[in-house]
Amino acid sequence: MILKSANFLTRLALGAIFILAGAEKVFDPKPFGDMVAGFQMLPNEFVNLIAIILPWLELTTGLFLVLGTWVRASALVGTLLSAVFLAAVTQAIARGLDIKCGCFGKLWESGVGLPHVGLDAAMLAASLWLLLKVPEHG
Amino acid sequence: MRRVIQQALLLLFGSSAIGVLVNTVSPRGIPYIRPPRSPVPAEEEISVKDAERLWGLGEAVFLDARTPDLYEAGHIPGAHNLPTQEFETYFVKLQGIIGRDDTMVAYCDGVLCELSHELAEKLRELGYPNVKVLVNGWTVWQEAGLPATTGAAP
Repeated sequence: MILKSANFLTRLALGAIFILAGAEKVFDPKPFGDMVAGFQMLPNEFVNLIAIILPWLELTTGLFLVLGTWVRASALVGTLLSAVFLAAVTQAIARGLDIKCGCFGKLWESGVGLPHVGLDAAMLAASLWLLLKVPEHG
Repeated sequence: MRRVIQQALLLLFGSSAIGVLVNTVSPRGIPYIRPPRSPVPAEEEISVKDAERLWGLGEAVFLDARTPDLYEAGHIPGAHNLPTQEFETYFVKLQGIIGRDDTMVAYCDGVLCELSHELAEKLRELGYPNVKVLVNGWTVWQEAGLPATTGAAP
C-alpha cells in the first residue's frame, strides 16, 4: 500500500516536472536552441533538431507518467533524459560556462548552478525508481 | 523489459514526429540544421590590455553582466552590475549614470559566455553604440593580476 502510494506520488511529481519543462518550450524552439548551443555538448548543426524534439519528448513523457500509461517505458525515457540533463549541467559547471539553463524555458531563468544538479539528480533517482520498482503491468 | 524498450522507442519516435510536424507548420519554426554561429565582429571585442587602460583612465563604464551573487563575490572595481537576465530591472537604475556616447565594457565569465554579448546587443539596440565586450572578462582580468573587489552593488 505504502509502496503503491510512493509510486503514485513519484509518478505524478516527475510527470508534472516533465510537463512543465516541455510545455514551456514546445512552441518556441528558438530560445531553447540558443540555450542548448550554450552547453557546447553537440556540433552546432544538431542543436536545432534537439531543440525541436526534446520539449515534445519531455511533454509526452510527462503526460504518460501522469496518466499512468506505459509507466516503465516513460520512466526509461525519463531516466535517459535526466541522465543527459545531469551530465549537461555538470559539465557546464565544471567548464565554468556562464550560461542559462533553459531547462524550464522562461519559468526558471537563473544561470546553471547546483540547484539544477540537485533537481536533475532527483529526477534521475525518481525515474530509476519507477523503472525498477513499478510492476510490469503498472 | 523488451516491451518496455519498444514502448520507450515508440515514445521517442512519436515525440520526434510531433516535434518535426509542429515545427514545420508553426510560424515560430526554426531551421532543422542550425546555421553556423555568426562570429562576433572583432571591433566589438576588447583586449584585457585595452580594457585595463580604459579602466585606469576612467574612460569607460564597466558592466558586469553576471548574476548579482557572482558580482557580489567579486568584480572589477567600479563596474556596475547589469545582469543580462534581469536587464529591465537593473537598467533603470543605470540609465541616469551612463550617457549615450559613453564607452562601455561588458564582461561576464567563461570563454564562451553569452551574457556579455547579449548585454552589448541589448544596449546597442537601445542606442548605446560604444559597447565593447571583454571576452572571458572576469577570468582574464584576474589572470592579469588586476584589482578586484567584492560586495553588492550600491
